[in-house]
Amino acid sequence: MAKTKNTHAFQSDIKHYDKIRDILRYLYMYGSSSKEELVEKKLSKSISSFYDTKQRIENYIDGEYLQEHQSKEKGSGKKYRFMYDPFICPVNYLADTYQNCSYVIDDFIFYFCLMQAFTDPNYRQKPYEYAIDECGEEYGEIDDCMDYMHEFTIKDLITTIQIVFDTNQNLLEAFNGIPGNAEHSELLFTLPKVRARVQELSDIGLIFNTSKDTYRLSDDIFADLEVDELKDVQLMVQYFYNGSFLTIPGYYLSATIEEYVQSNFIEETDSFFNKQENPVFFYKNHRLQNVIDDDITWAVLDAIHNTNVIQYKYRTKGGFLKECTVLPMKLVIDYQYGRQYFFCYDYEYKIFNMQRLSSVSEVAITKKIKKTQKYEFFTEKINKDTDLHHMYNQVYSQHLEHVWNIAMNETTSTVLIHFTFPEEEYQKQLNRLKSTRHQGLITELGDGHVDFSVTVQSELELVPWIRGYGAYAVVDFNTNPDLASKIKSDWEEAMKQYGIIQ
Amino acid sequence: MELFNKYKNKNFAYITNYINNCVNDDSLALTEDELREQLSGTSQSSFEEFLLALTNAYDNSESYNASILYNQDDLMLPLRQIPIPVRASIAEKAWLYYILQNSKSDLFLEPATKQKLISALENEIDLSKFPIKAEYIDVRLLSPDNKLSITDELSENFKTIVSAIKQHRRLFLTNTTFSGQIYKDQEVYPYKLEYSTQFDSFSLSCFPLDTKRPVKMNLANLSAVKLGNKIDEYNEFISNFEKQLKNTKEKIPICIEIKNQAEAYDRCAYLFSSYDTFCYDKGDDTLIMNIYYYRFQKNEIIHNILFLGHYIKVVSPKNIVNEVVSNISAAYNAYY
Repeated sequence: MAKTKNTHAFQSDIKHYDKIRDILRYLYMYGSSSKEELVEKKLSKSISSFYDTKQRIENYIDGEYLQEHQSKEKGSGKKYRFMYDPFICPVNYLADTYQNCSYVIDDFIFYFCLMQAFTDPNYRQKPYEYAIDECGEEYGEIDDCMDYMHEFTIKDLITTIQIVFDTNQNLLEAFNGIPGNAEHSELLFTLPKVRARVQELSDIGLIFNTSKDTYRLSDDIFADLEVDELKDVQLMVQYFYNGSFLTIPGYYLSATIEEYVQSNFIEETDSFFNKQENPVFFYKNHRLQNVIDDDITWAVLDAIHNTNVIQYKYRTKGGFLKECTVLPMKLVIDYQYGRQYFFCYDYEYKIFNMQRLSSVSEVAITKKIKKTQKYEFFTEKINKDTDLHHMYNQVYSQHLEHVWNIAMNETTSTVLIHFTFPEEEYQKQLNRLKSTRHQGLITELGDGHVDFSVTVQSELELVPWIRGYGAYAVVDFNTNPDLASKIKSDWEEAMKQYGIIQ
Repeated sequence: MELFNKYKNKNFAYITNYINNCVNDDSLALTEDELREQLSGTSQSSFEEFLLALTNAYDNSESYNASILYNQDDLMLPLRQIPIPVRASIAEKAWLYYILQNSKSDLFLEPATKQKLISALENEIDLSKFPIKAEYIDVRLLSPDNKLSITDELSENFKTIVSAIKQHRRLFLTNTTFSGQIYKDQEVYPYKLEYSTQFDSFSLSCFPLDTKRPVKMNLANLSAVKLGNKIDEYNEFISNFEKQLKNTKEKIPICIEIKNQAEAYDRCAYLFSSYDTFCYDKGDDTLIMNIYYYRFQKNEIIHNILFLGHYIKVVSPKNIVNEVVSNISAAYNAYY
């Protein structure tokens, strides 16, 4: 099965990450499901497409993390799940899925002919010197290289990479008797094809666009670093990309450093694939799942940076896909649940919103909002000197003042909670309170009593946090009757659930 | 730019590494079969047309041979003896520039190294395109108190511990626990450093020779940290350490039932995403979640269960049910 399916057409489905996002999230977050359940939940179109997706995932992720087992609990089918254990998974294995964007052979040939056209001016090598004995002097003379700092036009580039490809073909024929085809280099390197690929590489930043029509290879930011310094940088990168939000740029950088060290400092390797390593660190409450949304997080950050309006599909709580057009203004990372949001202005409802990143797909920049409408929410006049990011921050701060975590509301109220900790646990619980208090004031009253007061936009957002303290926390009935009643009724419901009261 | 893009495909990285290694040292070259085998391995499989083009197996004018490698004495060598320049993308550079603003970068880099990187990045033509800036991001901390204070002593201790872990050396240190107990000049075998993102703190996971069991020590509580000799029996130590850790993992999971109300599935799945869980649908709009856990995670799990309220119910084991019920009863009584 693997062989018949392992074709280009099969792989090329994954041009966009959206295709595998939901199923990865489901298997990681909700644990195991049988193929029938996944079809039922519309995460897979059919049983056969489930096998396709499963095979893709197995291609992307080390098999030990996608576990298959026979379930005893329900049904008889095999179930699938991603495993997690802080000691066994010191790296984010879900990040490996980002190494699988599809490409065609033309992309591959173009990239390697281009990259092998660049030469280091300080260490100029003749590309075919080794072939002189076998194929004649002329190969020693071929000058088809571009110095790293050489600026080129697309036309120059086509000429150069055609020479590279044709020479490679000629040598392949001379050494291995495999005939080349002179037409191929003309078909591969047409002006529109080369222009499109140069544009892609320039967007990614591997090539700089130095003026309207000229380009050059991007700079080597590690040029002044010694190998030991690079190893320190690598350790820092491994630590940060695993431990913070937005994993993929750091994950890519770690691979780049590895490739760089192998190439420039001749470090031996046991695999030519880049493998994640993290020999020094592991993480408490490591939440791997947010990496699944990193391409969306990146698109949102890019839109904030360029003050762009974006359009996307938003999965509502009811499961429907809704088209949204918004101006994103701030990326918001929540440490309580480990969710990610962005604060934005919604043009349809003319309100400010907190959108869940994990509900967003198919993000694109849109020009459909007119200039006059773009900043309609801002009362002051916008001109070319306006610092838009300063304005974004002002708006955001106004809306987030007194927000406990994420939930916004029109009004605020002050909550008073009485904590009572047993003597033997006092210091431990007080430390816990201090390190989870968000904002708010702690007053130690003696004899294990601590008062906590905080002004918030949404009292309801405090409910889970208060419940987490069990009997240690009691909301003041006089100042916050609604909140106190809510907590009281929650405990009552819980008592009924365990059959302690009727 | 798109973060998910074809130039970051694993095969591009593989061939870059392959060519660069072979240009440096052609004894690293592989045979065609080895190359095919590595590229079509079970966990990293490549599509068939790519392998055919790479190994120049096409024989007609329809499909392109890559003509990048050739076969010499059964080994696949680069036709062009020029290394592929390795460059970081905008996303990587922007991210690096962003983390260099984080004071924790000083724990890893010498000031001169950091300055070299900052200068290189600030001279970039693409600097204005870097889209990650602290002012675009709001990290909602659990508390403003959760900020690691990087003193000279902490920084020095951190570096000593990292060296010990990397070089497989023992450590001598004094640990003053939060409850005020002092363990002076303990000799420990370091395992790894644990980082808690939520609380912005590091803990050393290690094996003190006097207590002879895995212990976690908060970095902020450590003093007089000194590097000792190499641990001769390092592999044995690691395997014993991991075995002992494994023994602290409970065999019986905590089993909870989650009602599909008020986003309880979602909140529960997020809250327990950093545990080893196994879920299945019970039917009747209820999800069953089994949480496998290390003994030291028990209190945290109970807090989380209380946190989620009556949308979830602990089914087993009995001792955890009793503990949760006793907490709930006490909380209920506190309001009456």
